[in-house]
Formats: sequence, C-alpha cells, structure tokens
Amino acid sequence: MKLKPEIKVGIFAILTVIIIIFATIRVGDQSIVAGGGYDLYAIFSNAAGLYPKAAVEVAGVDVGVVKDIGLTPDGKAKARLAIKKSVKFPQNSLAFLKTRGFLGEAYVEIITGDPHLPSLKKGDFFVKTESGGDVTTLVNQFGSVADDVKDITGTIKGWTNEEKGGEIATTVHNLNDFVRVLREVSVRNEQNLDRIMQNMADLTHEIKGMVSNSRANVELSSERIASISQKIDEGRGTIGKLVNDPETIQKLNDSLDSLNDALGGYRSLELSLGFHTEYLKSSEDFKNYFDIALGLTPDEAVLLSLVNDTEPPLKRENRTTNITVGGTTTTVQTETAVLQRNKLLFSAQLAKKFYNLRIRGGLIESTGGVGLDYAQGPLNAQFSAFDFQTKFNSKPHLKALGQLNLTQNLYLVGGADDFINPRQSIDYFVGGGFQIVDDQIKSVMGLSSLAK
Amino acid sequence: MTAILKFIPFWNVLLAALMGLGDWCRFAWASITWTFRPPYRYHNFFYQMQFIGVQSLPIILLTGLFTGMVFALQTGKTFALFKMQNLVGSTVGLALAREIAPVFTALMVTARAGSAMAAEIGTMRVTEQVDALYTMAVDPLQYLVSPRVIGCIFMVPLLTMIFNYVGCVGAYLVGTTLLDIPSGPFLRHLYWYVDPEDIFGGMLKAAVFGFFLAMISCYKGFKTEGGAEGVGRSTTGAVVASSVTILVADYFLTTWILEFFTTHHH
Amino acid sequence: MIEIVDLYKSFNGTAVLQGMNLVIPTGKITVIIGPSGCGKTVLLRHIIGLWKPDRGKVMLDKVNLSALNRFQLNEIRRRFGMLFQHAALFDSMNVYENVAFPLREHTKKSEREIQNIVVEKLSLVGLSGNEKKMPSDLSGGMRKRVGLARAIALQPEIILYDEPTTGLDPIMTEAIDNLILEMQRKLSITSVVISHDIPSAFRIADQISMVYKGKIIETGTPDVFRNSKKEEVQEFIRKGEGKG
Repeated sequence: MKLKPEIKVGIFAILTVIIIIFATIRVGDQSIVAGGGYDLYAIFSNAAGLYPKAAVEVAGVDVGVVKDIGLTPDGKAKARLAIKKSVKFPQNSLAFLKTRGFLGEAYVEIITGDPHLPSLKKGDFFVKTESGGDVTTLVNQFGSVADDVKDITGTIKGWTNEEKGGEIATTVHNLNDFVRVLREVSVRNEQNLDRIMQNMADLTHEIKGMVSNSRANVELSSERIASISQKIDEGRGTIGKLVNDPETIQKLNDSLDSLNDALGGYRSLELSLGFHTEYLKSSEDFKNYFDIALGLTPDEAVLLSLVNDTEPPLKRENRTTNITVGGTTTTVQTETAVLQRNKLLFSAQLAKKFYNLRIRGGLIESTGGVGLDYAQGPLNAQFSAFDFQTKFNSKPHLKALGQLNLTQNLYLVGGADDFINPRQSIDYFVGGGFQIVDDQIKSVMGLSSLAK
Repeated sequence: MTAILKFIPFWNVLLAALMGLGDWCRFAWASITWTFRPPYRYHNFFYQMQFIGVQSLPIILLTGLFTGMVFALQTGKTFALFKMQNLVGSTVGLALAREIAPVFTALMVTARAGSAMAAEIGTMRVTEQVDALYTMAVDPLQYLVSPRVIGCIFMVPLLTMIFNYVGCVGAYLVGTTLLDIPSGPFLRHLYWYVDPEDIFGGMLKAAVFGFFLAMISCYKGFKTEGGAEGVGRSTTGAVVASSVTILVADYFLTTWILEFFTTHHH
Repeated sequence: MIEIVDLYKSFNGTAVLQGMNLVIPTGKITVIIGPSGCGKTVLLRHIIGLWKPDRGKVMLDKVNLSALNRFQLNEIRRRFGMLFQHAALFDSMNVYENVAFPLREHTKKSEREIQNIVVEKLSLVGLSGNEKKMPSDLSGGMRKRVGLARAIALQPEIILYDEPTTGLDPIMTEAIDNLILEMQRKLSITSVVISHDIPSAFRIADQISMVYKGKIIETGTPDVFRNSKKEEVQEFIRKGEGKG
C-alpha cells in the first residue's frame, strides 16, 4: 500500500509529539508541581554551590526542590524551598546545606524537629539553618586555589633567589643559629634535654586531657582519629572519616582502593605518628599538632593532622522561645555567642615527592590549601598556603616552617605563621616535637625511651 | 570611490561575498513574502515534509543512537576517574538536548535533503524548468522554495526531538551495560538535570537551522549556471554553506537562548 | 499589441540588446529571425518579463511590463504561453501531469474537465495515448509538442515560441508550423516565433523582423522582407533558403 505524503507526515508528527510530551513530563519537575507543594524559606549565611532545582531531603529521601535563591536585606542567602504537600515539618526543624561527595551537588538536608510542635505553614522560615561545611568551600575554592598557587610559587622563587636577604632568609638564618646553639646545649647538657622532653610529655598529657574533657563533637573527632589509626594499623584506610560525609568516605575509600590496587595493595603502607607544638610569639599562644603520615608508596603519602585553633570563631546560637500570655503568643529570639576555645582543626593532605621536594595539597587547618616541602639531610623546610577565602576577607594564611631532626624521633621547629595577614604582625614561632614510625608505634607510650 | 576601495586587499573577494549575502537576503525575503500569498499548495508542503522529515528518519535514528552511545562511552570513561558515572545520563541528556541533537540533525538534513534541494532546483534551473514555471504564472519561489523552507522549519525540530530520544536510549544502553551504571540513578540524573527549556531551546534552534539550511540550499540551486557541472557545484556549495551557517548560527543562538532562559527562568 | 521601445540589455559588460524597437500586432504571427547570438532569445525573455531591461520598456496593451512588481508580473503572465527551445518539461511529472499543471494551478476545474482538456490538447499536437510517459522517455520532437500542449492548455492570448522547429525533421517541422498556424487562425492568438529557419518563417509569418547586432534592422510582411534592400537581410535569406 502506498501511503499519501500527508498520512506519512501525520504519523511522523504524532510520533514526535508523543516523544515531546513524554520527555517534557519526565523532565519537568512534575512531582512537586503535580502534588501542589508549598513554599518554605531557609536562610543561609553562605549558599555557595546551591542552585535552583537542588534537592531538599529528609534522611536521604526527596521531599522537594530549591525553587530559587535570593538575598535577605542583611546580605544572607535566602532559599525558597518547594516542599511536597504531604510532608510537614515541626516548627523547630533544622535546615542544613550539604554537599554530596567531593565534587557532588549541594542539597538541603532537613532534620525534623519535635513532632509535638505545630507544623511550619506556607511561607514560614526554618528557624535554624547551617551553611555547608569545608568540602563545599574547598570545591568552590578550587579555581582560586590554582591561581594562588601560581602566585605563591612565583613568590617562593623570588625568595629563594634572594641572596641572604629578606625576612625568610633572616628567619632561616636565625633558626640555623638557634638550632646550632641548641645542639651545643644538647651535647653539653643532656639533663636539660630531658627536661624539654618532660615538658613535652606534660603538654601531650594536657592536650589529651583537653580532648577527653571537651564536648561530644570533639570526642567524636578523637574517636574517629582513634578508629582511623586502628584501621590503618589493620591496613584498611578510612581516612575519609575526617570529612563528615558518608558518601565522600565511600568515594574516598573507592578511590583509595583503586589507587592501592594499582600500587599493589597495602603491603607497602608506611605509617608514622607525630606530635609537635609551636609557641607563637605575637599571639602568645601554643599551637599543637597531632600528625599522622600514611606513606602509600615511597613518594606518595596521605598526611593527616589535628590542630588546636588559636583563633576560635564565635559560634552564634539562636534560641527561639514562645511565650504565651493571655492567648497572645510572642516569639522571643535570643542570640548567644560562644567562644569555642577547644575547637579542633583538621588537615588532610595528599603529598607527592620529587627528589627532595614534596608537594602537598588538600585540607589544611579545615580549609583548602597547598604546600611545598624541601628536605636536605636533617633539615626540612616547609611552606604552606591555605585559608584563601578567609573569615575576614584578608590575605591567605601562609606559614613557613623550618625543621631540624635531632634524632630519628625528635625534632625542632621554627618559622613564621600567617605572615602576610595585615591584621597582625608576623607571628614567629619556635617549638619542638617527636615522631615515631611504624614498628615504634606499639611502644608509643614510653615517651622517655625515645630520648636516647 | 571604487578606485580607492580596490586597494583594499581581497576587495573583489569581499565584494563577491557581500553581493552574495545581499542577493541571498533578497531571495530569502522574496521567498518569505511569497509564502504568505495564496495559493497555498498543501500537497507540495506535505510532500516536502515527507521527504525532509519522514524519509530522514532512518539516518536520524542511526546517527542519534550511535552519537548517544559513543558520547556515553567517552564521558563514562572520564567520569569513572572521579567515580561519578551516575552523571553520564544527565551530561549526555543535556548535551544532546542543547547542542548535539539540533546541530547533528541539521547537518544530517543538510547532507540528505539540502543537497537534494540544490540538485533538484539546480537541474530545473539549467533545463529552463524554473523559467517555465515563471511563464506559467507560477512563481518558482512560491512553488519550489516555500514548501521546502516551511518543511524544514517544521521537520528539523521534530527530527531533533527524535535524535534526542534515540540518543538518550543509546546512552542508556551503553551506560547500563558497558559502564555498569545502575539504571535508577542514570535516569534520575537525566530527568533531574534536563529541563523542558533545554529541549525546547534545542528545538527552537533546530527550527532556525532548518530555515537557514533550506533557504541556502534552495538559493544555491536557484543560482545554478552551466549544466550538469554547475549542478554539482551548487550541491557542494549548498552543503558547505549550510553547514558553516548552522555551526556559526549555533554559537549565537546558544548565547541568546541561554540569555533568554536564564533571565526568564527564575 | 506588444510594443518594444528602445530596449537595452547587457550581460557582464557585453551589450546584447542595443536599442531595439518593435511592434508586435495582436492576432498575428510575428517571426523574429536573425543569426545565433544576436539577441533573439533575450528579446523573447524580456517580452514575458523573465528579465528586466537595462533601459527602455516592453508595453503590453499600454502596460509597462518593466515597471511591474513580481506579483503584478505574475498576474500578467497568465495571458502568455511559452514554448521553450528544449521544451522545459517538468521531469518529475509525466506527460499528463505536465499538461495539466497550468490548469491545476490557475483554474478550479474538476479533475474530469482537466482530463478532457489534456486529452484534447495532446491529440491536437498528435500525441494521444502518451499520457503516462515520463519526459525522459520522449524524443526531442515529442517533448516540444508536449511543451506546446502545455503552453496552450490555458488558451493564452499570446504564445511565444523559442525556436520551435530547431532540431526537428522536415515532416515534424511542417507539423509544428501547421500547429502554429492553426492556433492563430482558430483562436486568433498573437504568436511570436523566434527562428532561424527561413522557409518556415516565410510559410507562417504575417510579419517578419530581423535582429542583427542587437537591433531590428528590418520589419515587414514576408513579401516586403524578401525584397529588402538591406545587405544583411539578403545574405541571411540566401544562406537560410540554401540550407532549408
């Protein structure tokens, strides 16, 4: 049968229109629209990475989408969330900004509050919100980090070219003198060295006490550290536990698995634990570091550190109280600022060695950063740049550190911290630390035995 | 004046290009005005839609399927490095809807129907059939060009939609079998990231491409001179000019469509 | 009446028509002769408005064709029929559809009426029974006759013949000549015939004009023409008759 062109075109057109309708329905946000959702608002101090159509989830289940993102009069991000009609949230529910995986999309996680309270109605605001963690920041800073790295390497090149001039050179010079003096002292007077070690042991003890006395989240963190080291001991890296995101951990694990597969398993893993403290001259404060280095191959390593924060941020807490007097309900909001003195910062970096040079990057003191190390004999020079998008919009946090290994386990440090920050003068520091590797770890408790 | 202008390098080339463009614009305008004048030859129109649309279906199905498959394979391999294979669906879907489907479809239609238009009208031109139409008080622009242009404007978007769909099917097949992407996340990301605006933006583009490819191919056919060799030249010229125009127009349309949808979306 | 007034046309700098003046009387057969490349076909194309002159005008019953826009020109062309040198049949259509084409385009006739007309016109040109053939299956002479059937399908007032007998055998030439004569006598159609076939011209013409180097150098009845004093005319007649 020969069909007329009109009929062929008709069949063709019907076919395509069916596809168009099918695709449009599938692709359109019909789940929200068809259900006749309602809008709620959430205010975030920073909604970086959040875009319209991002998911709104409760316990990992889709309950709506982000409709649009605007600004509040006081310069915060205001997200309009379209929520399915069937889902209700009690008034004290929390809205969190979260990121799925390292490079994953941002989404809004809602933790439902007290079910006895009345539900939020159309147009209401979530009383409590929290903006995204460091992973979001890290991801968003990726581009700017690359630029900054370029600048920094340029600057370093400038410094190294300087002959005996400039602040760094002077610092290194001074440090050399200091170290020489120290060496003489240590040779002449072993007792003094023992006392330094004793102090250090006390310090560690103090930190330990601080950690055990601190609040739940810190406990959790230290627990995690413990579990990491345990797992590393067992030969199963779960470094990702540092990042508070199950999916990231999963991905990190997967990546490490594949990396290790490629490297021939865990047999070559080399672990070292360390602790060192720095006394900051300007800040008049101690900065303590707990370090874990995990050597994946002879020239690749994962570096993890816990650092106490010398500049703890003020944490603001909003409290909403409903007072009902004679049938009229008044909502009172109080804001309290808490200085979190015992807040810990995390570092998690990947390092790669080229001859005496080591490049590292990742999370440094809970912000994105990069670093460059140079080792020559017992001397080790480290340079780090991090916190590019700083809290006060100032310069990135730079740190130069010189390290002198006295024995296999003991070393001294000195250098300058945060030295281009215009808010303060250069923070010179001196300090010392110890490190133990692999087989020594088991006997870590007997600190005095290390002084030999 | 012209004496001075002659010193400009490649003045003659420039002049020829300008004249060609101007001539094409006049041709296009005349064709458009004729399109809206009676009589309306529905049969011609449907015949062309059948030729451009229905008969292009096999080639579009084939190219669409394989484009989607190869695209999924390539993005899949790359995304696997980041353990993000689940995003293959959305990447392929978005790229198809916004760029690949309209451009590929337009290029395929150019190769198949555009060249045929240039050859057919070119042959009619050199054998005086076009003049015969004039003498019978049937304007060839209205009789030959209008149905082809309208046919392309309607059919290229529809073919684009089919290309889209088949491309996604191809990506799905490769994704779920070769790349071991679970079908749920694959489809969810696809449906989640692709908006109706992307599809309609792509179809709008395709309609513009259809207009250009038909108008250019017909123009080349109309300007045929010099027998069978001339017809060959026109056919080649039509395909080259249409393809280049499609790719250049794509850039500007993408910019405008993105501009339009981002300013009116929220 | 068609009046050609001071017509100039050049292509890429080559002057083809150089001030042509001619009056074509209504209801008569005008044969325009001249050597190849003298501008005869160019003149014909100007008469039907396919080309626009550089200067001068073509008047059809007091209407200046050169001044019309393409829509008006399209209207006025319905009064014309034209037979092309190579017939210019639509090769996507068969003989029947070719002849029916102008009827379908310009009349609201039923398919039955159209069929009657097509059969009549085809029998007029002696091609009955060839309706289903495609143009590519036909000989040159047959194509010309189909072209003629198509040109007269709408019964135009004016028919332009572009070399109707070129390349045909003598019998076919005579048949075509008779058709042209018959057409003019029965329907008093104004005929303009481009030709360089002298015997044929003398047989059918009411008026003969000779084009030479872009100009009309002689116009008149066949008798006047035969006795022309012009050297070029006499030479052309001599050579043409010798050949024919």
